[in-house]
Amino acid sequence: MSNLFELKNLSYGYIDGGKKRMILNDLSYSFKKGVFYTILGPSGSGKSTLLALASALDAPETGSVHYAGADIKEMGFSQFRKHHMSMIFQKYNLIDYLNGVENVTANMGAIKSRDKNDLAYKVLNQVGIVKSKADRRVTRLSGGEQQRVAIARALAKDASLVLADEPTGALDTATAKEIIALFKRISKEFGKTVIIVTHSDEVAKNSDVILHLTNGKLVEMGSEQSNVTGE
Amino acid sequence: MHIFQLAFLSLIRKPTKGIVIFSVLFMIFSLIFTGIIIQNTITASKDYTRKALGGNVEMKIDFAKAMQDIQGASGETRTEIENQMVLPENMAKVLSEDAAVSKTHIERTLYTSSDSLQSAVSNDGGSFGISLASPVGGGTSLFLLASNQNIPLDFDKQLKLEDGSFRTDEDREKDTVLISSEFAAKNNLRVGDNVAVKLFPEGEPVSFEIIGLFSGAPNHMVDQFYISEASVERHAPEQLKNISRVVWQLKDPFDIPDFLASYSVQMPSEYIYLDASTEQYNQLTKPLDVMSTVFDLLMVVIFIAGAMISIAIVTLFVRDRQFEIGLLLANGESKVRILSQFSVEIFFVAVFAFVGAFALSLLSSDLVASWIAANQLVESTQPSQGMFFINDMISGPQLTMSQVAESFKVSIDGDTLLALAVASLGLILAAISAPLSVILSYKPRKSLQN
Ligand SMILES: Nc1ncnc2c1ncn2[C@@H]1O[C@H](COP(=O)(O)OP(=O)(O)O)[C@@H](O)[C@H]1O
Ligand SMILES: [Mg+2]
Repeated sequence: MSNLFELKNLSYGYIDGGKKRMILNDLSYSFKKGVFYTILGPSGSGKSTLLALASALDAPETGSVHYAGADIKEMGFSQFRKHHMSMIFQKYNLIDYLNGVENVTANMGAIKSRDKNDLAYKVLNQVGIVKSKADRRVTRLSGGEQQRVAIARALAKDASLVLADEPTGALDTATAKEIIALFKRISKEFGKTVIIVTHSDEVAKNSDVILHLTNGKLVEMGSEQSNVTGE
Repeated sequence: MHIFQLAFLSLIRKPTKGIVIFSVLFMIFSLIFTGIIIQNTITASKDYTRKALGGNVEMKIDFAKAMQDIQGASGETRTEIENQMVLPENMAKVLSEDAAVSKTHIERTLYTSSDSLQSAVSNDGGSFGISLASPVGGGTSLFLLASNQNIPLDFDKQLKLEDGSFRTDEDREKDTVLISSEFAAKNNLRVGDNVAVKLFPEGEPVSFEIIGLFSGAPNHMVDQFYISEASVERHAPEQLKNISRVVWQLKDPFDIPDFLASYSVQMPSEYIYLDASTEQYNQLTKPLDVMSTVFDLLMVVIFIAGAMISIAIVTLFVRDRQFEIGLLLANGESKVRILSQFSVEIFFVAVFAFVGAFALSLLSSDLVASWIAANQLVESTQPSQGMFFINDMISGPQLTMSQVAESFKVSIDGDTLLALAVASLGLILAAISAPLSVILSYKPRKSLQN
């Protein structure tokens, strides 16, 4: 399998009380196409920071991010965000004055609006949102349903990379399980590279590759398990 | 999705922000519009006053100044000053040739007496305290007013033709006269009768045909005869010396300031000046000027305060939408597009506020017009005159309150609308500059945090 997405020697730190504290330390990793990754780590370990760099919401101090062999900085951060990836957060993933289907179509590329609607309904249906719910204002959907709409949006956008920061963090266990199953499905059925950041072992169990964020570096579980010391 | 569609859905489905921004803009627009309408009404009423006062300029002798200078002056200086207190004939001619002048009235007063005619001046009231000195050699003192125009100036305001008619161009060859109905009654004269009058005390009597009787003359003017300059020229040209009044009637009252500016400096003496009812005009319009300044200031304050309130409110609403902005940025939307959508939303609300405020100002403009007319003008003139009548006007119709109110009611025209639109647009641009800078300063990651 080819490397779709690469993080090369990323370093990033915050100035805390006048002192610089490094969160990511010369971090490198290559993600392959169609694989479902989870990144595990305790709260405060820098998972969100890593995802922000990976999704071009922020720039690394040193190092670079590459998509399909190209540096995303050269590609343009917003071009990368617009065409190649889709981001899902814990909550506030949707525009609250739009309904489900509008949230999905608002983010689609340049195709005819009629086709857009058809495709949006189809994708929503695939993630378990029937038409009557798709036509509802997203504020009147449950947390799980909202995450489904967000996943549908990512799918409909037809970007190869889906990044998610604690997407089940605000959901109950049963719903969380369904959402994780859905992520797994989109990586298998649609060939998406899914990278989920979580602090839940339960979520991690379902993924193809589990990564640990430790001391500012990503460590693959299993291969270098000896390095993963409990914190 | 198109930004117009997004903007529309945002306004319809989350109406609170729209309603608040609408209310604020409506209030500010209404205040500014009313201010502009008040300013326009003030301008209109000043123009009306200027027009109603007429386009007349009179050359006058500054007696007050002359008297002051004469006091304590040597005999020689005194004579010199007295010699300057004459309306210069050449100036009358020079100014009458100005393109702005439509008509020049020149009047000369001739003093004479009659043995046969009886004075109609009543001595019972003695209201004016003017004692008419008996002419040398006895008889009745008479004043002949020789005018170069068919209708003498006094008929523009004070005097009314009671019987007969005015002189026409055709009877320039004849010697005609207008006398007061009081004088006619006293001497048993009628229209069509002839009276014999000497043009100066030692002159030969000339027969004048009475062509009209007038009323409305104050007691001291009932013995005044209105004759034509042509008659004097025919019978006693050497008497055509001193001008008693010169009035230039301008085609357009608004030419007055320029006319005064160019000719005032050419007056031959410091005791001769040009007057154009500027006194009355200034007196009438002074409260309007004060009001205009006050409203100018108020409008600047309202505009600045309004812009600040708008900026504050719009900024609040944009901050309230930071997750939305963060989300859009995270999805790769450009800041320009987000900014455009927000601007469209505000513009859309602003158009409604503009239309609403404009409709309200249509209603209020009538109120404003009558309020200015009823309160500002009357109050300003009442203490001194009791009634809004411009009595001292050289000529022109009497200007009444109701006329003024009537004529400047309609004050919303294309120019006003343009002024309103420009003011509103300025305010909106100020209000939009806030989200512009807020959104441009947003870092996508930061706006998704906290
Ligand atoms: N803007 C910031 N300024 C300073 N410190 C920050 C900032 N954002 C995050 N941090 C700190 O960096 C560390 C990593 O944060 P984060 O990436 O959010 O971790 P995680 O998502 O794993 O909980 C935490 O200790 C956090 O307090
Ligand atoms: Mg986090």
